[in-house]
Amino acid sequence: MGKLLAVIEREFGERVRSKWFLVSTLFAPLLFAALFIGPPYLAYKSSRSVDFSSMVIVDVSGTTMGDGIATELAGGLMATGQRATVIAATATDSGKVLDSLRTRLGSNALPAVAVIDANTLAVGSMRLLLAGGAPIVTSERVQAAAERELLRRRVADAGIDLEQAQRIAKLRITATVERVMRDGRSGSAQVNLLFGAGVALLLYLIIVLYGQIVLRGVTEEKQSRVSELVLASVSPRVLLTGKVLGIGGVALVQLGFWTASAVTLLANRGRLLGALGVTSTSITLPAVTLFELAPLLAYFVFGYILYAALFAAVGSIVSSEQEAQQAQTPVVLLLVGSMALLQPALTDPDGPIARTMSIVPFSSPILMPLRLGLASVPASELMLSIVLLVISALAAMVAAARLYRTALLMYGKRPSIGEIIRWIRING
Amino acid sequence: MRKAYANHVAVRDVSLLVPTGTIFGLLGPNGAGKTTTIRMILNLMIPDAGRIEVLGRPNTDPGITDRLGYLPEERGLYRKMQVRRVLRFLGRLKGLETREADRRIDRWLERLGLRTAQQDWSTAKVEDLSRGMQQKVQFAGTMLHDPELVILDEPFSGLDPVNAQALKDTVLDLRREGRTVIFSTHVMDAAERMCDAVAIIARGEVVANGSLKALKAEFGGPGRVFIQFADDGRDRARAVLADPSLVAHLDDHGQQVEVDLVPGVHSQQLLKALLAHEVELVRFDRTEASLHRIFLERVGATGVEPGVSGHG
Repeated sequence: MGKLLAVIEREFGERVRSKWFLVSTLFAPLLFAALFIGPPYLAYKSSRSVDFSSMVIVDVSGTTMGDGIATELAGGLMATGQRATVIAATATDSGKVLDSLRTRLGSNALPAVAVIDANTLAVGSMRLLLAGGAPIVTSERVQAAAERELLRRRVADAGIDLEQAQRIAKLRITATVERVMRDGRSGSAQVNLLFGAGVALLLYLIIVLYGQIVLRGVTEEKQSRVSELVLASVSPRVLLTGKVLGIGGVALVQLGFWTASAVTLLANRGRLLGALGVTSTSITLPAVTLFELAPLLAYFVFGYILYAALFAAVGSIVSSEQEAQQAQTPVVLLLVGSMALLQPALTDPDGPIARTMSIVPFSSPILMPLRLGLASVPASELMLSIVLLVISALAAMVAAARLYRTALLMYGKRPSIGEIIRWIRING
Repeated sequence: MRKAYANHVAVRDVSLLVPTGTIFGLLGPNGAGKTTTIRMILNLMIPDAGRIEVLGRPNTDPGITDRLGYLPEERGLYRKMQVRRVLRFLGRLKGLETREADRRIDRWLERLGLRTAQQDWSTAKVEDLSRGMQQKVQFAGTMLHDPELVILDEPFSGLDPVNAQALKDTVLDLRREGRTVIFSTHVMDAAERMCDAVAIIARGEVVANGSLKALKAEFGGPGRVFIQFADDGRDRARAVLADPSLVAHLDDHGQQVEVDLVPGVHSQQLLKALLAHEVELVRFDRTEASLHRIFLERVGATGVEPGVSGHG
């Protein structure tokens, strides 16, 4: 037991102390932050950066509506910013004015030209000419300003209070979509979908990433001949178990940190964006109980152990890292194959493919969490799937440990499938 | 014990007995099966047939590994780890507590000159050490837990003369402390000076086994005497040298001769006979058959497989 602990501590300690761990642990949350905060903030920044003071409003309506829109664009009556230039024109000379403005638009000297006429007042139609380099949000902003000005005018004509009118006009219906499952459980469909797919993707990534680390660790140990020294002190089973658990611990720490930072970020997205001056809502995370988390944790732990054992077996039969890259193909194919089933499982989470493959051990760690998010899975199916996964994970560990004893001391030619099976059997 | 690989038999019915408290040499050419034998003793490989007992217990006994120290032929340590952490890990694998391991690490690093007042290598990474220093660290790792039985596979390979001498001294110290040492080598000179007993292995079989003295008596032949005469000694000795009951073979170089004695004859008998004839001597030198000669004789030219490496 003390020896197993020593192996676990070495595998865990050496990796947690490495620069790689620090960088990858901290980098992922920064990436999340950039993904969640960046796009809305950038969109907001670019919308702010439209310079309406240099745009031109050609007012053919014969009213002061052009002035009103310019005021709205500059930020309303209280605004202190530069207002857009308003050119009042008649229907006859507007063509000539527009022609000269068009050339200036063409050379990007002007961002935009808005043309308003009697129709704008009557039915709300207007023309907008944009320079090639003008931001896309320009048209939205001009239309919104025109809408506000038009509303103000109509309200004033009708003799209603503007604020009251605005309240009436601001109608918006928000529907909360809820899907009712067979067992009466409910949840927000979209969030569940995101959650299920997210968990599946995360498990896949962790298994691939840390399976590779196990593979490299074993190959390095074999190549540097340390394995012979270590095996003279501990049994192959202890060495393998310690390695898989130690590296799994690193994965768990990293996964925990990533999840915690992602949840914190998502929950405070609105506040963070607010601090940057962007109005946005925080995303409501699904309320996941511990009872629902337990199967996810089981799939993570045993899915990782199953694949880690397979990667370790690959690492023990090869003699160099280049060779390992080729030899791991069958294991990687198993993982990629499971990932390819994500699409059919998403479209039909209760279909025969999804149901079968979420019970088969090699694909269940990825597909079952997805199904759990989308559909209601019968408890018996869930139990069967977990039990099968646990059995195969332990069997893979036992087989890999048996292979270890012979394979770690063999250099040179890679063994054939027949030899591998023989080695697993003779060390039983 | 016996061990066969896919296409050849590495160890063929080898039977060895190593007395406690001795230095035992496992000699043999490359590919003879030394490393395979050692790996089977350490339970790194399971023999196809046979039984191995270490320190009075079956070698599969889980408690036994803590009492063994092993220096593999192919040295290797975790390159990216700090020297102290590697040693602490190796110590803990042998059941040492961290604090006790640290104490012993300090002692061994000081003894091997890796921790002096000027420089402490214990915080350096293994990969920053020279090869010689890495070997010392590995040797410290072998000895950290005070093993009762120390197994060294080709310990002299890659050592410079100074370090080789230091290693010999350390191994002799181990015997003085009552430990048993098994080491494999093909450096006969080192084996002859250190070992109490040896086994010579060739083609997976033991071709000679026993104490150095017994081996020399058994395989070294009757011994060889080098004689240098003075004045007319050569003429006076003529009758003695021609006596077939004393001399089996004579290499005649005039004033100097080399004599192979008849089996069972002691050199004293030859000396007495010469003195009886009043032969004037400059030198009368009795040389023992060297281990080197016994090795070559027993292994023969066919014992060396061409192009076979030390492990396998």
